[in-house]
Amino acid sequence: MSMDDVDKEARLLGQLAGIRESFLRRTQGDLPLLRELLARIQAGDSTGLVQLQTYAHRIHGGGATFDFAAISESAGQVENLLDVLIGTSAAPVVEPHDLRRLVECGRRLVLEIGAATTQGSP
Amino acid sequence: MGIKRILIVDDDPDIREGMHVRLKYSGFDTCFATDALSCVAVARKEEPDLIILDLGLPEGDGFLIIERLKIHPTLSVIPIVVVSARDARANQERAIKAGATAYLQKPVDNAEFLAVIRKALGELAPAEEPGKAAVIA
Repeated sequence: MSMDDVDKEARLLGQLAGIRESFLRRTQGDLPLLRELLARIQAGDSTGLVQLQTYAHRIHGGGATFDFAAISESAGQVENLLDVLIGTSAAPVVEPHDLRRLVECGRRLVLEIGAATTQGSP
Repeated sequence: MGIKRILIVDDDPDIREGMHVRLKYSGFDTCFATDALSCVAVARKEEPDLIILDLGLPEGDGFLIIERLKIHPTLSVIPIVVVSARDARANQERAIKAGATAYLQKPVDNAEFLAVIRKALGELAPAEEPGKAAVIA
C-alpha cells in the first residue's frame, strides 16, 4: 500500500468516525421526543405508534450500521413489536400487556441511547 | 468504462452519508433518494447502474419500490441490492423473489458490501466472490 493509499484510507476512517459521531449526537438529541412518545402511548394515545415505529426503524438500522449493537438491538425489539401491533390497521388497538411490553422495550432503548459513547469503538 | 453510478435509497441521512463516503472511496459515483415516492423518479432522472435499497422507508416500503422498478420498461434491468436491518430470514426470500439481486443484513462488513456491489455490477473476478453472509440471486 502506497503512502497515498494510507492517507486516503485514514481520511476515509476519519470521515466514517465523524458520521458515526453525528448519528449518536442526533439520536441522543432525539431522546426527549422518544420519552414524549412513550408517555403519550402509555397514556393511551395511539397516534404516536407510527411515529415511534419510524423512529425505532431508523435507530435499528443506524445503530447496526455504526456499530452501536445494544442500541440497534433495543430499537429492533421496539420496531418488531410495533410491526406486529400496528400491522395494516390505520387505528391499532393495543392490549394492556402489549402496551406494558412496548413501554418496557422503549425505556430500555432510552437507557441504551443515553449510555452510549463513541469511545473505544471503530 | 465510465464511473458507475449508484442510487442510495435510505431515509437516514447518516446512513446515506456513510455509504456515499465508502462508495466514493472505492471509485463509484452516487445519487440519493429518501423515500418510496421519490425513488423511481430519481432513478429515471439519474439512470443509475445499481440501486442500494433499504426496506423500511416513508411513503411505502422497499418491496413496493422493487415492484415499481421491475415493471418499468427501462429501470427493470438495474440490479437492486437490499441493505436492511430487518431479519434476513423473514425478508430476504421475499426480496429476491420480488426481483432484488442481493440481500445484505445490517451491519454490513465493508469488504462484503463492496464485493456484493461489484458482483451485481458484473465487475468481480471469480476469486473475489462475496462470502456466505450475502445472499445473491
